[in-house]
Amino acid sequence: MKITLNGELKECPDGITVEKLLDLYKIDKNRTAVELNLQVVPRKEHSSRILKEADVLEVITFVGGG
Amino acid sequence: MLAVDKIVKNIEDKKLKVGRYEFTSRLFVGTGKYSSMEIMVDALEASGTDVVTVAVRRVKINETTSLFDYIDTKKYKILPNTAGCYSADEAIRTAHLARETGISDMIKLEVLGNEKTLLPDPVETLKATQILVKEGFTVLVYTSDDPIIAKKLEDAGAASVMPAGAPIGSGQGILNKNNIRIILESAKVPILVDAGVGTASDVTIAMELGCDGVLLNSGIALAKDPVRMAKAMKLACESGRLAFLSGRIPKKLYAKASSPEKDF
Repeated sequence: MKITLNGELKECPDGITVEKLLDLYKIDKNRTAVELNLQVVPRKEHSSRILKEADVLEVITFVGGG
Repeated sequence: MLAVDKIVKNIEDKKLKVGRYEFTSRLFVGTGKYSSMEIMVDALEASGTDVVTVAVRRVKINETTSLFDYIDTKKYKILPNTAGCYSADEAIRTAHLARETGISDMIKLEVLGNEKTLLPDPVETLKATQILVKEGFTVLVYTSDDPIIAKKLEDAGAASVMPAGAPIGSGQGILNKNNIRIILESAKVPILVDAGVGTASDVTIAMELGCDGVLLNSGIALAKDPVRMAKAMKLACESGRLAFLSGRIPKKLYAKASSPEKDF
């Protein structure tokens, strides 16, 4: 299935969880937060939340700023 | 025993408290725009700060290094900002994501109104403050130097109100000391000058006016020697604070001799 990850269309296995998707793209889970279709996904739900076709996922972290 | 030996005055300052957080240093330092991470690390160290601001951005897939490889979160409190947000909704969304990382419930709220001037949008800023305070955030809010909106932000529950000395990154210093003084006169929460600082004396002026602290980034990061400038900012902050607590002499038109009048 196809999802949008940080603005890019990505292919991933059907029924993948948020956690597995982060692993698939080797995203460090430390100091990151995930938003699914504009709703924050609490960290404790990463392993149970299943993604579906056309979901829009944003994964954020921190960079230098003032 | 010499008379001098009996004189030991404690001039230690009290800690700065913002909401439930305490800070030893009154200088808040940004982590953007340094030419290298190594220079940033040294500059933060030289500044003596114990709180640094960071921005929220998309993870870059396949990127292996993180800002936190360079910032020791045991040493520095982390203050995420909502930089680049132009509406209350955007800023609130950014704040939610920042808190979800588990790093802090502090947020440097910044809702801008114009891309060229980077001046804050007071209406959206107030709206976002009201909502984030209700949601339990410790809100440190960036605003213009307008005393009326500063008061409204305090009344909305901001833990700290942070008026700009001058536009972000402009290095113009404290453009309207009178407004900062009016804000300070009635403030019951810490007032930090945020933005506009160009050099050490700007920090000193803010602190001499009675500000509780100064937040800066470009003034250090873009100086030719950021590490040395960081040290200058630290000393300037301490000097200004000490001068404020000491109570300066009034300005007078005429001279007044420091030595006794000649009596021989």
